[in-house]
Amino acid sequence: MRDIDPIRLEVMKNAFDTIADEMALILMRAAHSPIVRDSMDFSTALCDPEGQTLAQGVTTPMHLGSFYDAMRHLIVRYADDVHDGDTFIGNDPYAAAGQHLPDFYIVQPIFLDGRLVGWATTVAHHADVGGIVPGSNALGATEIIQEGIRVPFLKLEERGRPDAKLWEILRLNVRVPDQLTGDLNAQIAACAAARRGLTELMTRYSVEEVLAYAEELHDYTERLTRAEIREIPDGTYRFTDHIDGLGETPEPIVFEVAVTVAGDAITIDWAGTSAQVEGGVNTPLPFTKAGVYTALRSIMGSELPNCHGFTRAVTVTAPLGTVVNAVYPAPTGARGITGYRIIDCVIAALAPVLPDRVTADGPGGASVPAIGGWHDGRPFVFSETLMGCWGAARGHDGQEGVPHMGANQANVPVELIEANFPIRVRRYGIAPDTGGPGRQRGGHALLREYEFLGETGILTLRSDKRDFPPHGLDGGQAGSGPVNRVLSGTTERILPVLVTVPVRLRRGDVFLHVTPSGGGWGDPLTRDPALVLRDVIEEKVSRAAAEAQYGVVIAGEDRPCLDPAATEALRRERLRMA
Amino acid sequence: MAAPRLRVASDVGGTFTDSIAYDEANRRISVSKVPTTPGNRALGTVAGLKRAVAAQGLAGTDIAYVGHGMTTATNAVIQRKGGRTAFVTNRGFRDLLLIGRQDRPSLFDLDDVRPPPLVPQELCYTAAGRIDAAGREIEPLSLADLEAAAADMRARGVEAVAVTFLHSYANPAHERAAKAVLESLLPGVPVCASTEIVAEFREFERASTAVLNAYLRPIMETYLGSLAGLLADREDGLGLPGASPVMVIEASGGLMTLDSAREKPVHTVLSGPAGGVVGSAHVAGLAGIRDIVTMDIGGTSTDISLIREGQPIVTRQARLETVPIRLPVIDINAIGAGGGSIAWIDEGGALRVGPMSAEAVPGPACYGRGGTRPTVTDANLVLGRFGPDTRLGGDLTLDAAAARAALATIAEPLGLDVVAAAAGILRVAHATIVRGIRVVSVERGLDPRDFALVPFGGAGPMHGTPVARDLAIPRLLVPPTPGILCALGQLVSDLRHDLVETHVGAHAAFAADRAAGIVAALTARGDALLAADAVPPDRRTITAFVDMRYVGQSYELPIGLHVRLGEAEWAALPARFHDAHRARFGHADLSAPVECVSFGVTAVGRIDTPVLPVLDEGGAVPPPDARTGSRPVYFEALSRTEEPRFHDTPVYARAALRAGNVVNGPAVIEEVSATTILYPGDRAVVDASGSLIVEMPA
Repeated sequence: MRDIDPIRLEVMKNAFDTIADEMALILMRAAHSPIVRDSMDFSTALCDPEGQTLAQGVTTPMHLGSFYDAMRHLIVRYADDVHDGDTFIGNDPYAAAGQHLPDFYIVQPIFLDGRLVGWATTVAHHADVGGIVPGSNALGATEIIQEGIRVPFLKLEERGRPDAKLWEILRLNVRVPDQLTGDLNAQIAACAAARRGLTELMTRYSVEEVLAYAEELHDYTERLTRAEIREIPDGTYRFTDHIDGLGETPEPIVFEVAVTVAGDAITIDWAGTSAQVEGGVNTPLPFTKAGVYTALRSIMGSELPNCHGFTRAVTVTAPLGTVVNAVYPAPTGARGITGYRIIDCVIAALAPVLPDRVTADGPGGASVPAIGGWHDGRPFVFSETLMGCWGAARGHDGQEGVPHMGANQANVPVELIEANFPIRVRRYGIAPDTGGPGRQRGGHALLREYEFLGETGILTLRSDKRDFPPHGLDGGQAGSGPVNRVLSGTTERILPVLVTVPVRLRRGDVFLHVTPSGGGWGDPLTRDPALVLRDVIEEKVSRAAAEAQYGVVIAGEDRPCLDPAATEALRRERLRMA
Repeated sequence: MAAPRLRVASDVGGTFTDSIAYDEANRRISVSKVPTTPGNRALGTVAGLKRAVAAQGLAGTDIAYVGHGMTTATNAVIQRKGGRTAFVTNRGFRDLLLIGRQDRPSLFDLDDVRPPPLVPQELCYTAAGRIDAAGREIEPLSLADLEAAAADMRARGVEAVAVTFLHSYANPAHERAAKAVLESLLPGVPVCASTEIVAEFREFERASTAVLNAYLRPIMETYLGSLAGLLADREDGLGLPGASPVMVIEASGGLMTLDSAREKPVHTVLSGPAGGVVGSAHVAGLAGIRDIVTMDIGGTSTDISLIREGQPIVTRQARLETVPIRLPVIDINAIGAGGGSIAWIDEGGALRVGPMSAEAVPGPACYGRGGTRPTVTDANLVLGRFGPDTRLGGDLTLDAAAARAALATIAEPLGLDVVAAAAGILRVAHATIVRGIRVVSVERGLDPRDFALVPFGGAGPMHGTPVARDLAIPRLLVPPTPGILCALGQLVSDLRHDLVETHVGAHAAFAADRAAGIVAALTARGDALLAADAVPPDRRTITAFVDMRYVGQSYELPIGLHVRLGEAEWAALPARFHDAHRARFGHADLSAPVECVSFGVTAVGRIDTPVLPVLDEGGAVPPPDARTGSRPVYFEALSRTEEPRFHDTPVYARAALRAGNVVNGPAVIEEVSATTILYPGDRAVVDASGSLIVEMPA
């Protein structure tokens, strides 16, 4: 046993966190593209000499624990060829253990007195890395070659000297080279801060002492994690979930998970999951792991440090060539939706044994509508992430107007959309009678209705859960699927959930999207009638639905009120029928 | 009778109400600390002021000026004690408040449910009618919808109404019309149109701010009305002369008249820490120090802010819990570590401090009010930083045995003695505060070492040195009366109005005369507001700015403008924006198009800032009566060769110190409202302005 002072451990942990935080702040401050600044789609980490994360500035949950595989890849590839002043770059899921091509890793070794003492690592989503569509996340891509520039781990700087040729190749292959350069430089600046921070810390204490506490931090976090896992009953818990599938004739993509808890260890296996598909929704294994970590993190105490020790008690396995462990040449650009489904699956599998730590199923991530075209002689592209709600929890109704566990993104103000794009938002609100009925009701779906005011435009959409709506728990009923409708004059057209062929829009066309809703929890006939009345007063639930779904009779013409006798009779009748 | 000469201020906190009275004739300051009166806080305010005034041997009729700060509005929101408020918006957008910006309070916690909006769903109404982004009417406003809404509101006992229509920043006609209709149909019910409070785009933030104002109107009317009455009341109150102004501090650090505060109470939300920040900036300025980090350590939290060039950094992106407030607010980073923060051991065996707090009740174990868990204050007592006969808040004695017993509950499992555990608690608490200071400075690209640290609040000066050392900040400034600096801030602040309007457009296509017209109109409005506050013309200062950004960005940077905006200045604006962008974010894109988003003015009416007392010169050696004794105080190891131990430490009375006196650490400097601890190696010089300037060895 090392000679560990628990107070110094806390102080060191704080120092590591401070370094990772500073990296995140510097990256955010220096980044050029809105996607980094507004969507916070990046992460920073300070790692030990073995590439194990000591502290991570988690801004996007789905990056959790995503550095280790990339770092192992880098360390093995470069072995003794790592020098002070080197900067490594890589993005390829297959050649650099990356996530998808837009996510570039920038990594710097940290040296003190000629000795490798740690690593500064960052990953950020770049606005465009080339390929067949702006933004490099085409649902319709059939191989990764179509998705943009692929970079294995290479030295962008060698001993402090930039590789001009590599910079030139990178810039030549993307649509907005200055943005790529700017955001990569922001990542480099973040790494430099970590080098400064760690060497200062090691000068103040000593290299040995800091590394000893680093090791203890892993052990400490592992202890906390294993203690959490011990609270979960042993057993194997399975769940099957789906993505509806691509395009007009979707074939379901099946997710099979088996979560095995044995004492203080947990294994998540994906055997039985669909083979990789010719569409951008495949994920490489590191991203699958990040989704699993995020799901487990959400059911554990939120005080766990974001360090490598957390992952030691967790094993993730998946057959090669599946959508959750894709191999070349599977495209991965739009793999976010699969990440959401991975999180949903793990939570659903554990729901029966951890009823107080989970929610019923929700909308399965963001709906992503995008409208592009020409207006006033200029091209425009509008895109946003619409997040609806959550499924019900055992103790409360599903939240409304909140993003999926895996993301943390704000909506776009209506006034901003209307000021910048030929679009009028006609309605934005909660869709009544959509939340999955239950003793606790699932969150209601959000609806947003766009009127197109430009000359001609095209619409694409990423959504899901029409064929496999969000499930309820413990007798709670399923939520609703999405509505994707374009009204052109009097002609109505229903769009597929994952639009692979863009839809034409004309002036005056109205596109309505209703997100999926959340599943309910518990038998709706046991819901407190007062809560049903509240929903009726708030016009979230209609009187008809109150009777049909909850067996609650609402009286009163102007002011809704309960009819207790009729309610009791109706519920008794329903129970008898059942 | 002589002209009134007393300037007084009071700051109402959750536990105590601090008051200060300053006699301009003889430059004497008196202070008082009384318990806050929860039922009607105006009672405690007046009681505290009476005590401070009496200490000067004067009466309420001698008062020339009253400053006031409070947490009433903030608490009303947190405790959901505002008025029954209705919300009116466009048809199709009824759920605007409920959805917000679709963010969630915690990344991983499934049970962290966002609190419900201040307006219940059934009090959200809609009316047909639309204005577009250019301010054109697309659909007329439906008066019938408004009349139906008003009838329903009346039936439901609505006490206040907020109205927000899309694009009202571009054309407020529908909002104004709706306000007029609702006011006529709902006599006595205040109706707030969003653009009266904030005329900027982003509908949710604007609506949220307007709703907050409406929500606070009834309760603040009650409080401020009662306060105004008691201040004037000659029998039971203070007997304030009618001509003496009463000013309330805003979250921006500026002052508003009591009448304005009754109209727009939302400006007082989050104003609690503002007085202390303004007070710090002022006293540091008197000592010639203009770049500071303020560290206000209270019972449950530490408030951190940056002052550059003597000015607090003001943001318009504040929120209270999940409620955004689109108004100028001093940028403060609140850290969950204060004197009452509880130390605990987590499941992994690590020592943690906060964010749970012992609060005022039961308070730290040493308060002897039933607290059994160890806190930062208990650690300070056991380490000798508080003396055995210290009285907090004037009359609370400390129970060292209770503190030791509480500390033993964590010392034992850690395998430490009580003293080592107490020292550990301080180190962990300091590490948390250090992280908070690094965040606010690094986020702005600043190095904390270029700033002086200004610790205040009752507990601040006890923790200044170790925090500064951890940050390698070489200099500390301990203000006079650090325990009541918030009240002092209300004596030295200025009257302030902030006006902002959104006018979006590419700079290249924005005509200079249009911009000049917008700025001139805002300036005229600001000037009229100061005139209405009875500020004479020679005391009015109006500054202007425009929020700009690169096309495609969703965040803006303010760029200062002259109120008489000329063509040349307007033409040169993009270059200044590029410079500001580089300074703030580290890069600029000279070829990218730049757009203007919002224009604003800040109208300041200078009040008579009192000239604070100046200490007599006393040479380097403190007078003999300043040294009141000595006691053992524990200091952690400051170098690797040194052992942590108790040092026999001299104790000084701050009131007896004179300008130029030098006190070398280790030392304790005591005063009524706070205790300053100097570490071995520290060297404090007493500044003529009353502040202690502490230099630390590199």
